[in-house]
Amino acid sequence: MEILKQSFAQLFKNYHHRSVLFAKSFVRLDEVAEDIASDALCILWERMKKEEVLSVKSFLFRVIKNKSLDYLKHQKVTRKVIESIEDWESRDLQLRIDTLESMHEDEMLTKEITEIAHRTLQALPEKTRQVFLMSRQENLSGKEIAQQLDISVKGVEYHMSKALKVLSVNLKDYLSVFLFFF
Amino acid sequence: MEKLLLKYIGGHASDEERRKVLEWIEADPTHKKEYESLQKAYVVSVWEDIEEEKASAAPRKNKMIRLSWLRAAAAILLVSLLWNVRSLIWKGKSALEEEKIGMQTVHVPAGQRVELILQDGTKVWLNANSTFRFPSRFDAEKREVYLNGEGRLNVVHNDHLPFIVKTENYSVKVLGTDFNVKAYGIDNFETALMSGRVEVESTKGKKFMLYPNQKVVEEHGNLKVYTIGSMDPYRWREGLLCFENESVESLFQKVEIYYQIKITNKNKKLASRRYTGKFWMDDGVEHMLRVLQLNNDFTYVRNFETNEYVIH
Repeated sequence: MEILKQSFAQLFKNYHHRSVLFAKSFVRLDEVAEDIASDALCILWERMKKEEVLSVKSFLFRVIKNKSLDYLKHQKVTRKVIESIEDWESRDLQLRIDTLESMHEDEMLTKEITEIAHRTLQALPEKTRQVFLMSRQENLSGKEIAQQLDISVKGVEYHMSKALKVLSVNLKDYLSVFLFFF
Repeated sequence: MEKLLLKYIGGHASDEERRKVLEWIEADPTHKKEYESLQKAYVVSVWEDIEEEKASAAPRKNKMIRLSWLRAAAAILLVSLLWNVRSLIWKGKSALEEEKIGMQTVHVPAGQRVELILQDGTKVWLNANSTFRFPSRFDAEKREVYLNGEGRLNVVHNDHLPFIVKTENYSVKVLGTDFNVKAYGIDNFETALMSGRVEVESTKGKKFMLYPNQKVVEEHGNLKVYTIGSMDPYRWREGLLCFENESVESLFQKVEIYYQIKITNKNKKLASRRYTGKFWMDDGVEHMLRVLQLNNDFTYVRNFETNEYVIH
């Protein structure tokens, strides 16, 4: 039992924060993203007790994607009922639903893409890499990163967008392949 | 726009910002493509195992062989550890579980260094004047060791058994890693990470995650993260004391700790100088002072009883 507890803690540690980041990117609200992430980790855990889960990441990706889509689609329905919602908000909602639906774990978590991402991140300029890595830490806000590295909050934003930009350029060939799918 | 887009993708844009981004995306199909590829890059990066740095090349054979008696001591220690483990196994499994974990203590004398291999295969190098405590057998939940001084650890990775180095005010939690910890009592705490990942936690519960090529340094009671500029300070494993543009005061401070001596400098001209260079620890304090004398006019007196050097 001790070992089980330990591994759940380990699982939580390894995957909780990224699960939240992934969900938050689409559902936007912290509480909702937290709920979805925790649910997904519990579902994963239950599954792992019963059988071997081959790829933890793919499993979490799928569960979080579906849960986020459920939430967003539910939002869409309630929005239709409440007429006061502005038009652009439902368009924004639809954009996020479409984008998320176009993402498939067996395309985005392939070995090739993972390797390119890994190499790209390793090759970033030191400061940029540092900011990027720190942004992936639990409970570390942009302000705190700025403080720890003695740079401005704007500087943190600059490095973050640079990191992402480089990554998207390097993944361009692979990502545009997806674009044909929808 | 890029920054707004980033905020939008991260999920923390305000309503006003969201609206702006949406309108921008809708304005042009190329904008939409740009958003989509950034959004995908973001998702890829979220799932990327950034901490999985390939383990660095095995540490170079160091020049410590010269201190052959230390090797012998380490070997004896290892043998006695193995003996402990063996006799425990002999007693059977239940006895093994009940057996209280014996703690071993290694103290490294001033001016010396020690290399150890722990039961789990983890390699430990200890710098001069350091004390290291570790169980002869790790328990089932965690691997915990204690360090007062400086050590370089190359930890064997085990997902289920976190490796924790406890120092006076901080603990360093390791996830399969090569790193350097410096915590000489009151001296400023420092942890430098060469590969892998570690988490530093203060007694107050504040946590810092370190990534390769980063170090965390205690400054006035607070921890700050820096990029490791030079690997020289960590070359003590080879028996080298390296200084880079270091004030004489801080140079003496280090020497005092490593050799457990006291240096009182009364020469103002010398105090104002800075030094870059390397010394073999084996060459001793007097050799270092003589080197400094080459371009500084000073004399020193050594008090053999108190082990104090006074520089005039």
